[in-house]
Amino acid sequence: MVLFLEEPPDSQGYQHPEKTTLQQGGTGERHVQTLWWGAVFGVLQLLFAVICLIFGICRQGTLPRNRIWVFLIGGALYLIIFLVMIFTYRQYINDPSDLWLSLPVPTAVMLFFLWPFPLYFVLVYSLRFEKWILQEEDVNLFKKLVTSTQKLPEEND
Amino acid sequence: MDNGGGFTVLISVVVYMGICIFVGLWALRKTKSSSDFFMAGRDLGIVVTGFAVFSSIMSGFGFVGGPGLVYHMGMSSMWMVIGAPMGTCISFYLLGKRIRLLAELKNSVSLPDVIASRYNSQATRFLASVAILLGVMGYLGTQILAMATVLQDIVGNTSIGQLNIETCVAISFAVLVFYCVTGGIIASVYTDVVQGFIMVIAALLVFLAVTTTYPDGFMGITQTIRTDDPEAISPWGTVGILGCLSWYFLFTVGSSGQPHVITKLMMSKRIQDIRHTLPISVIGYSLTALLWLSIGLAMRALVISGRHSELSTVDAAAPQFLQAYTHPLLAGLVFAALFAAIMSTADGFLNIGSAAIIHDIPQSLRGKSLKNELFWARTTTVIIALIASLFAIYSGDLVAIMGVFGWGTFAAALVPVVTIGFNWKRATAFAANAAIISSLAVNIGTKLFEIEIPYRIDAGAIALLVSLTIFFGISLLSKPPKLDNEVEAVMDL
Repeated sequence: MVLFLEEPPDSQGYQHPEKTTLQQGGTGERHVQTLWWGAVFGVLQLLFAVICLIFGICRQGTLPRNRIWVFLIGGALYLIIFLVMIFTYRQYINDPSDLWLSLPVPTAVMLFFLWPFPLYFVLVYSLRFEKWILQEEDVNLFKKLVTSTQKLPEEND
Repeated sequence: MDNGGGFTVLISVVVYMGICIFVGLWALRKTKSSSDFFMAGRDLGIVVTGFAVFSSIMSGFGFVGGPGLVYHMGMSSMWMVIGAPMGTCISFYLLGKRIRLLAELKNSVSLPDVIASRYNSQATRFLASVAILLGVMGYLGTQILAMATVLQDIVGNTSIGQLNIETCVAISFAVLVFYCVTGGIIASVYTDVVQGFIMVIAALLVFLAVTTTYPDGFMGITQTIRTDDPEAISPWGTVGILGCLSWYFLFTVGSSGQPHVITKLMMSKRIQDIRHTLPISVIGYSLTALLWLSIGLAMRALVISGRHSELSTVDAAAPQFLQAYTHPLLAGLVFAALFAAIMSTADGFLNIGSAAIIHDIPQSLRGKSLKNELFWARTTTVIIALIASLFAIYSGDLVAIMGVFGWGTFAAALVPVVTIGFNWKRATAFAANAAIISSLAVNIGTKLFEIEIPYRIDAGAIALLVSLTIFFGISLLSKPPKLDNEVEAVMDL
């Protein structure tokens, strides 16, 4: 749908008036029309990413209920961080002087919270690996499968 | 940096290239079969696999193209970096176990091998191989161009004087080919470990150097950029929200379609090792990405404030910063690691490219591979490197833009087929074929006909959306496929 909106001038930035290898973005006004579309696009992406992770721990198409909470909580936190960044950016458009740790607040949220957040899912993967990803019995089943597969060609010979 | 400093850097790089040749010769003795050449004998430990995964992503694209993009367009390109950790998680959750099990079960030596087992289709193997080859050309061209750009800058800072880019590409090609032809993937993964360690340390040191380069440190840098253009230091940079989020999509979901990354998951010695490989990869990548951010911002502030003359090209941001503002030894260390990053990633691409030509395409067309695969693998490596070098010289694109094209080609063609298909029994071979063809049509069509997409939304992201939609749509409308019993058993684990 976004592709059918009339694109405002300079929405992709423009050349710096003095430095030919630099671009400028101008003011945040160029985002008035697209900010909320962008927010929806971002939220859908985050949801898709978390659904992918949940899909990864499904076994035979089913997901034990006790596991899904871990991902719902993680997904909700991830979404909240993203939305905080969107709202603080809206404020930044009006007042670019608001800083946190020497960065504009939305940029700080992006770098210090959104970027490292996937470590939550990394931890879940590493800590619950033997219970949720690959159990001992899976390894044994797989070993049997490999042995039977290797026997088949020998029998055919 | 004076000529003395320039020579220190040059010597570091020459020493490093010497080490690469040594590693190549050492790996030559360990490479006895095509399985060793393509899969490192499926014998890699935790640390080696972890470093190999993150070093494959953080290549010349990351170290030369990345800082160049931040210099050029502010924070926009950081969405590629921010997407990568979540993308690595998706790769491990969805593929870490499955692809390793299938590779061992079917004794596969390449990604199309595993794809052929999953879909029981030679047509899908063929199309996947073609997509891989096309992506390899874009991405390998990026690596060679990055290597040549850095070499040109280093030599230009010595009394030898400026070399033209063609000469630098020729030198890069020669070293790269020797290293890859002799060592195969074994040389690449062991270099990754050394490179990974150096890169993490160097990224932290450069980050510190950045804070001392500019008056008032990091605060001064952001202040200068914000005063010049408030949007450049906002989360969306100069590109704007939709373009940035299309990159985020491409680098999050698309990560699991990168063959040079996911084939590394097929090489680990023990399946259980992947639980430790994931944190090593994500943390290692995030630390080294500090270089992408810090150099790019510092160079932008230095040029805006007039403390540094304007760069001749965007790709010169990293080489110029290192040569002008860091100690020659640190610059030498980073350049050596940078060459390592480029060479190991290029090796990975040459590897999967030659596997596609001499193993997968003949398998799909004739039902058998070529005789003497190892010999042909080495010969093909030279030919692919030559074509990619020509592509690098004559395409006229920036390092990062070529990298994004390669990444997008892989992502759009392989995410549905591999990431979804290896976890969803309903996926059919016909849907996989349609997804690959549509992704290539969108990706290459927009590049070839120079179609401009509104809001700078990345063509790769659109191609990925299209291929995912087609893949799901056709699979759901088709009769559920009959899977091979063993493949089904692995998908149930």
